[in-house]
Amino acid sequence: MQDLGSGMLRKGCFILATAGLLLFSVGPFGWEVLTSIKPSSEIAQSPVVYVPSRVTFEHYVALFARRDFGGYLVNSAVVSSLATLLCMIAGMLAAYALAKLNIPGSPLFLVIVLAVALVPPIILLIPLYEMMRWADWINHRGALVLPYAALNLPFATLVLRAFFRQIPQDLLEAARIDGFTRVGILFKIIVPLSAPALATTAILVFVFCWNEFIFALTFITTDAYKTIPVGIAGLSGVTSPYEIPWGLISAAAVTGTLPLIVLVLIFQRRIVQGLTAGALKG
Amino acid sequence: MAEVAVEELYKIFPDHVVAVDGVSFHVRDRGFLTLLGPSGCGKSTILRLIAGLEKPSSGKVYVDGRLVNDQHPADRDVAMVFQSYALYPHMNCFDNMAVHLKLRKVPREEIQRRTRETARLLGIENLLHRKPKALSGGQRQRVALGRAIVRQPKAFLLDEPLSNLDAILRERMRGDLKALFSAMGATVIYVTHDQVEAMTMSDTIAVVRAGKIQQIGSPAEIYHNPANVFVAQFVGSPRMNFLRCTIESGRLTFGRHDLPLPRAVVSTVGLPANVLLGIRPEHLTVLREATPGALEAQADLCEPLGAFTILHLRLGENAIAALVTPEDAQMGGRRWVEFHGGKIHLFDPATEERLKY
Repeated sequence: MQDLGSGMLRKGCFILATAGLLLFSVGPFGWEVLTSIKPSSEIAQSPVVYVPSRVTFEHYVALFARRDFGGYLVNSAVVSSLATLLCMIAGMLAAYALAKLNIPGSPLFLVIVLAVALVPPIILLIPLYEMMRWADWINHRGALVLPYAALNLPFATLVLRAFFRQIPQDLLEAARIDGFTRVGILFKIIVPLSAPALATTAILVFVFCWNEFIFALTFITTDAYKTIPVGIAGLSGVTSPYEIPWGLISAAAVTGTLPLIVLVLIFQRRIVQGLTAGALKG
Repeated sequence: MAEVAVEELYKIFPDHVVAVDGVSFHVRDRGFLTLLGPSGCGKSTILRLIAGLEKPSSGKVYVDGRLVNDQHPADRDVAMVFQSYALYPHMNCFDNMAVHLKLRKVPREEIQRRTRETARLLGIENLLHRKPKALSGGQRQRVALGRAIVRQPKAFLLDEPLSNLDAILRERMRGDLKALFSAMGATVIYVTHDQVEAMTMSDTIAVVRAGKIQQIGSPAEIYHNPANVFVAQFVGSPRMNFLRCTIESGRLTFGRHDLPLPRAVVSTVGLPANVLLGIRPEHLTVLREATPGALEAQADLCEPLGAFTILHLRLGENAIAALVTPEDAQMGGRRWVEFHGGKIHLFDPATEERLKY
């Protein structure tokens, strides 16, 4: 009886905690979705209107028709994809070398990577700005791609190294005897086996790039290359300096988040998949 | 197939562990050499040095008469089978087996033909489309073997290939492998800690301990003329009995017992006063009645094995084991133990080396 009672109590607590966490993380986003489909008159109304009286897409229409939000989306997608790609390629190579190649001095290198990862990016803002100006890269996508890739490189390297280390050494040695080159082993053996890890890491890097604000605000000043976070920030005070267009901002935030959600859903299966099963005995 | 030889091979790891300590041997074409030793003795490292997975600290590795020290593992044209099988989990069995041929740009039809032929040989044709995780241990083992065979290498290197299989399967595979490699005319270097595998499969055994070869010879030589106490103990089950003796007036004396010296000993000159007598349990006869020449003993314990029984006896202060038929096995009571004169081994107790006489 006691077991049953405590079991139910535990289950109840679990459900409660899950519900609380869900409310905490999904709540604000849900609120934003609701705001984005409310008529403007209901958004700032007091008392608060939770469920809109009618659903409207006027904010979304305004977002794409009156502003170049489609352009921001493209810019964010291009910059984030390129930065993620660059970061993952470099990260994979570094992680492979650190995890599997037994290079002398790699522990020291690891410490340095960790130290670099701890530097707050804001410290780099001014020096990077100077560098970008010198390279004539202000208002150039490269000004975002390169720093994004570099800033995420320590994270990607450390995470991938941890995953690569789990791949049995025998497998890589068998591959060497079979005639794979070192790079061949990375791309034909390690990468397919680490697909879940790679997908997870890539998504996290991509999300960082997608959400990054301060570099994007500083290095890009023309509207043509602005990314979504900067674009959203620019929505305030457009119609009048005294009005914050909450509907427009919410619609922009929802639109900007949607690609990330889709991305995670696509890769979800990959992330969960356990591919190494059967590599070894048992 | 081809010869494989190593000369004065040393491997010292960065932490100063000497894994391989001056090993030399030669495996003839179509030969089957087994490196036998306890775990951590360096036998796998020797194999890895031949495969090219490790670089020797010094010494030479020859495959087919060519020095291959500086060659990439894949170019040495030796195939290795790992204890863990090391199959690529993301490839099906066909690709696992064919991957070397593909990398070598062998024509497609030939890859198909050779891989299917090998699969047929191993009885795994119907598994070719499966991924390793959908296979049993024995099937994975066969795929791993197939991956080596399909290459038609100069030599096979096998690192404890049977140790992950259950006992029944291991016994069957032991016979299968022996038949398979002899039919192919393969040169094989086989690493194991299992003396039964070593005795049954190989034509030459090298017993390894602490990175050094203790003895190299045919299974019969290793069994009948072990070069030192370690080899004598390691090969043979149940293990050889050892008795500390002194040589007194031409007889081997221990406690209140004594035995004649083996007939081969012509003169005791040059023999130390103290010797270690070794005799295998199967070379003792246990009698129920006093017999001239037989030593009186006390039967302590029986360990029935089915066909035979290990009888543990107390011989004065010494404990010895004898292999007897189940009918002769009875605990308790007096027994008389007869030593087969020709089967007595004498070792130097200080160096543990076999005494020459």
